[in-house]
Formats: sequence, C-alpha cells, structure tokens
Amino acid sequence: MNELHNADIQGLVISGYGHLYHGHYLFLRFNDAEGGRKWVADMIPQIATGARWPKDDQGKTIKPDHMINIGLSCYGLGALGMPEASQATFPHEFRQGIAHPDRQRILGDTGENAPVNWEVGGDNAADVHAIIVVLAVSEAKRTQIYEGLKAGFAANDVTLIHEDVGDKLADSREHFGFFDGLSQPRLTTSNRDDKQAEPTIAEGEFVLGYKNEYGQLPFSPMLDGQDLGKNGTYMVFRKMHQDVAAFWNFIAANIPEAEGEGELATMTDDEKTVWLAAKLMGRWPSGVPLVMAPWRDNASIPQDQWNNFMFHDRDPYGDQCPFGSHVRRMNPRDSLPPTKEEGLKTADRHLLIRRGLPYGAPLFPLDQLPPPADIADDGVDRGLIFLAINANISRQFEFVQQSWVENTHFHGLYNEKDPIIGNANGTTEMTLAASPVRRTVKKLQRFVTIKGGGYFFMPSISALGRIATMG
Amino acid sequence: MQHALTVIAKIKPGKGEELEALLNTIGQDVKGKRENSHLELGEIETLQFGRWALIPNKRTGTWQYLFFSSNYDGSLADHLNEFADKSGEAMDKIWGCCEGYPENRTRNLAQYKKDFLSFIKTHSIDYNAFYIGYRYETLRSKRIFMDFRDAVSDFFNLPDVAKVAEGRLKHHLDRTPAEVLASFNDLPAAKQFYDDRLKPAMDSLPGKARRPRPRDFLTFPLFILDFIRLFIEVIIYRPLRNQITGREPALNIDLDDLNINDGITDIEDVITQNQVTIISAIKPGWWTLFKLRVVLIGIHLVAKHFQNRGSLGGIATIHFARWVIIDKGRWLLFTSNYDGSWPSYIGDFVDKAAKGMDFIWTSAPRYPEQGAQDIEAFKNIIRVNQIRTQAFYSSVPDTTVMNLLNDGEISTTLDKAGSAEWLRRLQGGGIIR
Repeated sequence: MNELHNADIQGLVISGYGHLYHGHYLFLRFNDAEGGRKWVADMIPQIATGARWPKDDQGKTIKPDHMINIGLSCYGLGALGMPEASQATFPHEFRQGIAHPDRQRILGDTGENAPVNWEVGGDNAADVHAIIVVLAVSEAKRTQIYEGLKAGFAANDVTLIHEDVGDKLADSREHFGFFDGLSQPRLTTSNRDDKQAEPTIAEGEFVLGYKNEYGQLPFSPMLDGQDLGKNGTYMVFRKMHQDVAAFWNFIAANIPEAEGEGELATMTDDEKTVWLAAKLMGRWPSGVPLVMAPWRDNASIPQDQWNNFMFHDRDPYGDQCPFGSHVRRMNPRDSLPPTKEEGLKTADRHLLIRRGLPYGAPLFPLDQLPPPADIADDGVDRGLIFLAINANISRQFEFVQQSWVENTHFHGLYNEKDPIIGNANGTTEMTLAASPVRRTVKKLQRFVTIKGGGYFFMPSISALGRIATMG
Repeated sequence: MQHALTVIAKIKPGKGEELEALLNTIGQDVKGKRENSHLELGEIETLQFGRWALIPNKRTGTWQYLFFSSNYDGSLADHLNEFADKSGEAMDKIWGCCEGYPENRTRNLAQYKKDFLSFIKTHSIDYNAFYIGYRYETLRSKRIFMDFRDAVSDFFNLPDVAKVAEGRLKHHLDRTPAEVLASFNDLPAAKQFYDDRLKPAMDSLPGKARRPRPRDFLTFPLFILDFIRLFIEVIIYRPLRNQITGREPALNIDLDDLNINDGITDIEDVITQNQVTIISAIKPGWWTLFKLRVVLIGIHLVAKHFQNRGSLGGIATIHFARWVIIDKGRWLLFTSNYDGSWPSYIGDFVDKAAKGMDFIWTSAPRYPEQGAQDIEAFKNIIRVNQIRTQAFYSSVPDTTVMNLLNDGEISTTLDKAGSAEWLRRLQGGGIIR
C-alpha cells in the first residue's frame, strides 16, 4: 500500500479540525505575478499540513489552535505567470471554472442559483485568484490571523476581494437544525483511530499521485515537464444560503393526514413535522439515520454507529430512508440498482470529503424542533460555507450534483430532486415510500440558494514551492 | 417490434452550410420542445427516436455526409410514408441537400413515396448490433402506459384517498390491483376521479402485453442457432449482396480527432434523455475487422436472448443503442439514446461493462492500453470520436427506461391476484424488475 505523504499534503485534506470552530474564507486577486509568487512563498511556512500532531510529555496530542490552507484558481495560476503549456495540463472543468455556462448546466446553477447572482466567483470569477481557508480555536485567534494575513497582502500587491466567516453552531447543527458533517469517506491508509465499519476508499479519490477507485492514477497537472499534482488535490467552494423559514413552513404545510392504523395516525402535528423534515434529510436532526430509527428518533443509538449502515439489505424499498432523500443521494452506499455490489462500486467512485461551516446567526433555537408555526424570515443572511475536496471535480463534485442531486430520475424515481439542496421550482415532488402504498409531497420549493462558488487547485507543499519559483 | 434505420447520404457540393443551419434550427426547436413548423416530428407516430448529424471531412473542412438514424415501429415503408405525408416539405429541404434524392413529391406523391423509399434503402446500412431497452413497446403503447401510471399516481394522491389508504389497503392486499382501485368508490372524490380519469385510461390499455421470451432451456440452443445464422449473414451474405447490388458503397469518410469543445457538450442535458453519435476508426487488417464483427454478433444476440428486459450488462439507462460498421469496414458508428448525464452513462459502462467496452473498442486506434478502467482516458477517447448531433428528437423526452418498464408493469398486471408488488411499483425506485 502506498502510504500518503501527509507532511506534503495540506491539512484540510486529512483532517476536519473539528475542534476549530471559527472559520474565515478569504478570496484574493494577485495584481502582479512577482508579488503573487512572493506571497505564495511567504505563505508556505504558515500552511498546516496533514502531518501527525505532536504529543506532550504525557503522550497527549497537542491540537493546533489554528490552521491555514490555500487554493489557487485557474485564473490565479495564470496571474502567477504559469506558462500556458502547463496550465493546459489542468482538467477541462477546472480551466473553465465553476461559473462557465457548461458547468452551470451540469451543476444546475440556473435561475436564482445562476452565477450572475453570486457574491463571489460569478461575474467576478476572473478576479478570484486564490482562496485562503483559516480555522481558529477562538474569534480572537481568527482576528489575529486575519491581521497578519492582511499585512502580507499589502506587502505583495494582493487584493482581498471578498471574505466570508463561518462559525460552528451548537451541537454541530446546520441552520435547518440538523447535525452536519457526519458522513465522510475513510481513506484506505487512514491513520484515524475510529473503529467504524465503513469500507475504506482509495486515496486517489482525494489526493493526486495515488491510485483511485479504478486502480488508476488520477490525471495530474505538469509544470516544466514534471508532475505538479502529487499530494495536491482540488477544492470546491460553494456559499449556500438557507431559507430556514421557508423550509420549516413548507414542511409544516405538507405533513400527511392519516386515519386508522399505522404509526402516523398516532403522531402529533409537531412530531409529524420533525418526522417529515427527517424524511427529506434522511437523518433525524440529532444525526441518527432513519434506517436505524424510522418513526421516532432514538437517542440510545451511540454516535459511533450513526454511519455504520448500508441501505440495500436494511431498507431495500426506501420505506425508512427515501431513495430521494438528501443523504441517500449524497452517498447512495449500496442502494443503486442493479445489485448491492454494483451499487456500492458506483457510489464509492463519486464521493466527496466535505469541510465547511455554517455562517450567520440561527433563526431559532436549533435544539427546539420544530420551530414555532409560521416562523417568519428575519432577513438575516445565513447558510453554509461548503467546501468539497476531491481529486477529480468532474467525476466527483459535478457528478454528485448532476447525476444525484439534480437528476429528476435518480434511483428510478419519476420527478424528484434533492429535497434539501436541489434547485427546485415547485414542479418536482418527493416520494415517501411505504407499505402498502407510498405518499407523495408535491411542489417542492428551493430552500438553498447558491451565493458563491469556485474551483481551486490545492497544491502540495512542495508544489507550492515550485509555483512560487516559476518563471 | 422496433427497428433501427441507419442512413448515410452524400451532401451535394455547396449545400453543407444550408443544411447545417436547417438542422440546427430543428435541433433548437426540439430542444425547446416546441413543434417545428416544418417538421412536426411529434405527429409521426412510428418514430420513437430520430437524429440527423453531419459528418465532416476534416481535410476539406466541409460537411461531407448527412447521417440519419431512427428507431421506429412497424414497416419501413409506413415509417417513411408518415414522413412524406406529415413533413414532406421538411424532407425536401433536408434530403434535397443530398445527392440522389427524388424531387417529385409535389408533382406525384405516390411515385415520390416509392422513390423516397428506394432512396433511403439505397443509402441505408445494416446494423451489426442493436439493443432495445423495452422490446415490443411501440410509441403508442409507451404513451398509453405513461398516461395510465400518471392517472393511478394522481388517484392515490387525492387527499381523501391518501388519508385512508394505509389503513384500508393493509386488508386488501390479496385483491387484484383493478379491485383495489375500485375499492375506494365509496368515497365521492375517488369515485368521480375513477369515472372521469382512471376508467378511460384503463379502457385504452392493450389487452395483453407482448414480452420477450423468458429464459429457459431453449435459450442457449436458440442463441447458438441465431449465432450461426447471423455469422453467415454478416460474413458471407452481406458482402456478396453489396458486391452485386452496389449497396453500402465505400464512403471515404475522413475524420480526425475532434475537439472536446466542438459544440458537443452544449447540446446535452436539455431533456431527461441524451444521445451520443460516435464514429471511431477501425484499425486496418482483416483480423481486427473479423473479430469486431464476431463480437458485435455476440452483443446483438446477448441483448436479444439474455438481456432483453431493460438492462444491457447491468446498465438500465439505454433506450436504444446500435453499432454499425460503415465505409467498407473502415469505421465503427455507434449511436445511443440514454437516460441522464453523459458522465453517468460512461461511468456505468466502466463500472458494469468495462470488459465489453474493451472487446469492442480495442478495434480503435489509441484506445487506452488499460482499457475502459482507465476512465479518464476512456472518456477522452469517446469525446474525441464523438460528433455533434445537430438535431436529436425523442418522442417521450422526460421519461427513463426504468420508468417506462415500470409503467408497463403497472399497466399490464391489473388483473393479477395480489396487489402488494403492484402498489410498490407506484413509488418508482427501480428495485422491482
């Protein structure tokens, strides 16, 4: 087995830094190639890597109080003076950029979600040359890092063109009130100590220079005739605004009526509301998967089991976790036809490492679900800063978005999109499979609106060194 | 039974640009799902899928050939007569750009129909392998099944029905689906919907569905017999016939590596279905060609005898696909009408049928050494050999093979005892085959 060279890999690829609650996302333009390269060179010593964290005298791991990682867009590589011949070795979708009409069509970024409406990465896509991801243990630490970074911008003719902050919410919830960030692929040579029984995924799905799920080395960019990709990867940025009031009001308005026997007939409207929201998500707000607790949340299931399941044998018809639900689309596991073996093989070839944090203040206390009836929007911008790490944007992030999230016929369904993040316009529906007969939620709305995006190359530490000394 | 028509006709000198503009307009109109004023394809009841694509000559930079393909129901004469009757003017405009097209339509329609049939036959090419996602379903039956499934779905979404369905149906699962549908007639809203919508849809259903032969002890011997028959036809009969009659002449197609950006991707993902037209070179040498012919006979017959219910090698998204060896064995033409995105379609091939892909396309120069498993190289070689399909038409654009097969089952098992599985089918999901 080819062990990952962790010290050469940017830290965010290896760890989610779950203890760092405060994020800062900075978007930069290099006004001058030489200044830009100088800036990259200055940044290299500050960049957190995937190397194991040190231990103190008692053998206890010393967790870092912050981390900094960077990514470069296709425009950034040009602005730094990378020769065209080298830029041409980067993948087609990366070179087009997330806002290109071809990518828009593939991602379903149309209508309200169109890049023309974005705060960053849309109309100003060509100005977004780099992204800095900062995670800090406290707001004070974040501010301190920010001041230091700004000094570096001024010194190297780098302009800060946009910034977002993100902060972890209580209990790791996102703004709809659900526990977030649970399901992450586990790498084959993962050095994490968890004992989950999930199958592992080949490193080459997330890091260039290693074999992927096809047993192949991923396509890798070149500089001066030599590989530039190894230990690097690609990062997708999406700023996702969440309309929390619209989501919960839609749910409350669509809870089913039921008479006679059956579990639904015994539930209060509040219970039904949370149940229906969980059906759309595929998990309970607590994070417990529906396949383990189909009707009511079950707090007795330990958290280390929440990802320890497959769909095919446990829930073949989607009675518990609907085929069209958000989590079954984002990772169908062994669910897709024709067989569980084939289904798992396909699913494992389109996974993402997800990093990111919520932004904005919650609309309501997220531990009190459901929120009050007819809750009104307060006009505050809130949502999720979504970062996805993958070795092949086209085969992973874009595939998930096009063939799973936005595909109205996903998994043999008729007319459904992802009920949480799909770009719905009132014409799609959601089937709640059940025995003896399914129920249907009609006229799904869009609850998440894209407000920004970008495709970034996340070079290895050594590749950053070569980029800093180009030309 | 559906058929595959493949036509390649030479474009008259100087007519290429005019034809391109015309086909682009038709393509745009079909994309927007508007009826083209010159070409009411939606009215052609024998046409399931159709496409026109221009084959360029890379050396001269001009359009050399017009390629047309259709998947049609019934006889070829009836199919072409429909075009002549319903879109005659468009036929004149399109095929009039090609050499040898009869120009007597407005003067003598009866004679024209004969001449048109003869023109198409002269320029048509026999396929080497043909895959059908749903054998025996005509456009008419597909539309009837889709409509019936919609009606049943709406019925169970009626608020009065949805409210009581779970409690009632539990006790009725031994009844037939037809009886289950009628069992809600005590509810006025259900009764009215049943009378106004369900009953008429039910009455229009065909009596009994024709299904592919089930697999049994005869399947393998039939496969072998068929193989021998086709082998003789492809290896001996067709070349002889072509020699004598002059059919399927040399085309001198001259393609080169095309650009991935060359207007191929921007016409994708407009409807649920997509298409590919791939023309790949066949490496010189009789052995390569012979092997390819045998492999394609094998694929054709596996599809016919073993994999004839909506799935080819586990891939359940293909409505129709065909492989046609053209230009005296110099090129392999592949066309497919499939569900969903191009990356998921190609990914399916690699996940489920990589070996099959390798068997066929090792005949192409620069096919990846490690075969389809080298997915990025495989995707690249496909895009490089894919040509733009200027006009693509699907008669039922927003449904899938899985949906259609499911609709068919829902529509043809109403009198089967027991309704648990039938009710299951209403949710979709592609789980019950």
